[in-house]
Amino acid sequence: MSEPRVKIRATGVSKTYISPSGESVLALDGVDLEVRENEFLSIVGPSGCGKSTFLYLVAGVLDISGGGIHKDETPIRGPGPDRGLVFQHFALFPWRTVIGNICYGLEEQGVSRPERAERARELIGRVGLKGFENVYPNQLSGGMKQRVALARTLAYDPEVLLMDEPFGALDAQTRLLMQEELLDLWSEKKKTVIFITHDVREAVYLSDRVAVMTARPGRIKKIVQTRPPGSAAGRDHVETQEFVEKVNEIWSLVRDEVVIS
Amino acid sequence: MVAGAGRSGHLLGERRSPARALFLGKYSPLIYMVAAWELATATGFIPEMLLPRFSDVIVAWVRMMISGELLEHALSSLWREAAGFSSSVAFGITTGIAMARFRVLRDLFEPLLRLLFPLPKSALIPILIVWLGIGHLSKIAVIFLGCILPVIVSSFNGARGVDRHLIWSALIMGTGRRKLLWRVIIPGALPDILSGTRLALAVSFVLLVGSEMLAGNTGLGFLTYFLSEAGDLAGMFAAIFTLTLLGFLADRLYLRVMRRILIWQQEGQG
Amino acid sequence: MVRARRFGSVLFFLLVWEAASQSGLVPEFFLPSWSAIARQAWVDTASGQLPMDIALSMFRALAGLSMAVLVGVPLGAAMGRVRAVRWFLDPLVSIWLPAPKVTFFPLFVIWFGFGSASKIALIFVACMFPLINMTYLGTVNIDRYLVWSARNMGTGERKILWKVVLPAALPQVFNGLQIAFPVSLIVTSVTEMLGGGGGVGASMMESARFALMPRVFVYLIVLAVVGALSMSLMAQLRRALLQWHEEAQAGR
Repeated sequence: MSEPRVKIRATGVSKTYISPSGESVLALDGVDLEVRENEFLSIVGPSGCGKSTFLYLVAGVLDISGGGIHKDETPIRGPGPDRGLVFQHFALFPWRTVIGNICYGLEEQGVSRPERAERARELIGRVGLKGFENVYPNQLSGGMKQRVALARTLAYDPEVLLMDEPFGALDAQTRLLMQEELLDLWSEKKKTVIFITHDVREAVYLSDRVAVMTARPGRIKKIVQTRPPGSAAGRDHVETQEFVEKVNEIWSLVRDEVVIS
Repeated sequence: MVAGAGRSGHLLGERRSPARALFLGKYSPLIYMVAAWELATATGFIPEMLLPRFSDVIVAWVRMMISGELLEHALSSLWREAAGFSSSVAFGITTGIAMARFRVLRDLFEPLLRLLFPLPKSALIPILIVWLGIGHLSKIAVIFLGCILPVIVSSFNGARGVDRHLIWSALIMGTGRRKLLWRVIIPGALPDILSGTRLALAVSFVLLVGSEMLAGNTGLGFLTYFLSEAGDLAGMFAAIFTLTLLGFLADRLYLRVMRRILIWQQEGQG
Repeated sequence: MVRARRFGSVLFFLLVWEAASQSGLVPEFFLPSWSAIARQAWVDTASGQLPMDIALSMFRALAGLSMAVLVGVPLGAAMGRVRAVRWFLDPLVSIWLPAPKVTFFPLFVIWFGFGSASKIALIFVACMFPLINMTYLGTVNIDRYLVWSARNMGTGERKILWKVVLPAALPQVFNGLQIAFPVSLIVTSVTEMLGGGGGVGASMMESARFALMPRVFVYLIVLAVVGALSMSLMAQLRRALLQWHEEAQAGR
C-alpha cells in the first residue's frame, strides 16, 4: 500500500497574541502535525490549549507567528474556499435564508443562478432540511443550523474541511445524530478533515487518528491511531473493546493536561 | 417555543365583538380620557382658562385645516424634519461605517465624538440661530447636527460588532476585502444602525419643536407658541395634537420599515 | 502612542480654531477665540452668574427627574404586574413616548407661570415616559422561575415585588434612568431658553439674542461638561449597583 500524501503539514508552528489587558500570550509553541490526504483527524486537548487557534491558522484567517503551514507543500497565505471552516456557533448569515446561506459560496465563485439553486437544493435534501429553503436561521434549532452550516461549506466543495467543535452547542441527542450523519457524509465523499473537540469519545468515534494537544502553550503531545489505516468508518465499532481502550488511552493523556491547565 | 406566538390580541379576551372593541379595546382608555376631559370642561369643573373643551379643540382643528393655516405650518415643519433627519442619517451612517473601516478616521474622530456625545443637543439651538437666522436653514442644521451623533455611534458600534466568525466565513468563501463591506458588514450592522436611528428620530422632533418655538415664523412649534401668546387655547391644543400625531406616526412608520428590513430577526419555532 | 495621536487631533482642531478667529479669518461674531471664551468664563464665574445658573438648572433637572422616578418606576412596575393598569396606560405611553413633549411647554406656562414650576413640570413629564416604559419592560420580562421559586418558598405577594421583581427589573430600570437623564438636561435647557427665568439655557439664549458669542460658548461648554459628568456618574453608579448583573451577563 502506497504511503498516503500529506495534505496539510504544520512545522514548528507558534502563535503569540496580545490579550485585552495588553500582555503577550503564547498560544501555540512549536506545533508539528501532518494531516494525510482524505484522513479524518481530530485534535483533542484541555480548554484554552490553542486547538481552535491552530485550526484558524490552517484556515488562514489568523497569521502564524513562527514556523510554517503548508497545503500540498505550498505555504498557506490566507483564507480561501479550498479550506472550509465550520464553527461551533454556526456563523450563519442571519439576514439570509437557508438557501441564501448555502448559495453564498457559489455566488462568490460566479456559478449561474439556476445552477446555484439546483446545487443548493440537492444539498438541502442531503442534509435533511427539505422544506426549509426560505426560512431564516433565527427560526431554526441548533441542529438544523449546523446542518445548514455544513451544507454551506460542502456547497463550494473545499479540499479540506476544518471543524471547530461543530457539535459543541447541541444537545446530547442531536450531537450523536450529527456525528453519525457526518460520518455518512464523509464516507460518501472523502475529504481531508481536521476536527476539534473536547469530547474524546466523539473523537475516537469519528477519526482515523487523534492528536492530543498539551495545555497552553499548545504542542502535539501524542498521536493515536484510532481506526486501522485503510479500514472503513463504521458506526458499529462503538462498543468494541478496542474502542473503549482507545478512549481510555486518549483520555488519560488529555486528563494530565487538563490537570495542568 | 410556541409556533406563531407574537400576535397580541386584546388583553381581556379574544372574542372580538364591536362593543368589546369599543369599551375594552387597545385604544379605549383614550376614549375614556377624552370623555372625562369633555365632561370636566363642559361642566366648568376645570375652568375654560386652563383647559378648553375637547369639542372646541376639534372645532379649532377643523377651522385651521380648512383655512389652510394648519397645513401650511405642518408642511413647513415636515420639510425641515425630513431634510434635517434624512441628511443626518445619510451622513451619520456613512461616517460611522467609514470610521469602523478605516483606523485613521476612527483615531481622528473618536475623541471628538466622545467630547460631543454627552452634550445636550439643544445647546446647539442658540448658536445656530445666531449663525443661520430664523428661517428653515437653522432648524435643519439643528436637526442635522443633533442627530448625527447617535447615528454615527450606533453605525460605528454596529459595524465593529459584526461577529468575526461571519467575516471569516465570508473571506473563506472568497469574498474580497472590499466587497466584505456590502456583503457582510452592512447587513450585520443594520440592527444597531436602525435602533440608533430610531432614537435619533425622537430627538429630531424635540429639536424641531424647540427651535421653531425659539425663533421662527412658520412651523407647528411656532404656531403653538404663537397661539398660546394670542390666548387661543383651543387652537394651541389643535397644533399640539397635530405635532404629537406627526411624531407618533413618524415613529410608527419607522418601526414598520425597520421590522420589514429586519424580518430575519423574528424568532420562530425552535 | 495611539493616545498621543488621539489627543493630537483634538489639540490640532483647537489650535486651528484659535488661529482662525484670532487672525480675523473667521469673524469673532461667528467663532470667538478660545482666549475670549476663557476670559468670559472667568468673568462669569467671578460674578457668580455662572455658578448660580448652573445651580438653578441642575436643581430643576434633578427635581423633575426625581419626581419622574418616584412616579414613573412604580407606574411601570404596576403596568408590568397588573393587567388593568397596563391596559389603561398602554395607549398613552405608546403615543406619548415618541412624541416631543416640549410641545406642551406653552401650555405649562399658562398653567404654572414663567418660573421654575412650569419647567420642572415639563421635565417631569418628559422623563417619566422612558422610565415607565423601561420599568414596564424590565418587570414584564422577568424570569418567571424567579417569581415562582419565591412564591414556593412562601413569600407574600407584596414582598415578592420588593425582593424579587424590583431587583430583577433593576437593570432595565437603570437603562430607563440612563435615557431619562440626558432627556432632563435637554428639556431643562430648552425650557429655559423658551421661558427665561434664569438658568443655563436662559442665559445662553439671552446672550445669543445680543450676539454675545463668547458667553454662548461658555455655556455650551458648561452643558457639555455637565453632560459628560452625568454620563460618567451614571456609568459608575451602574457598575456599583448592578455589579451582580454585569457579572452574570459576562459569565453567560
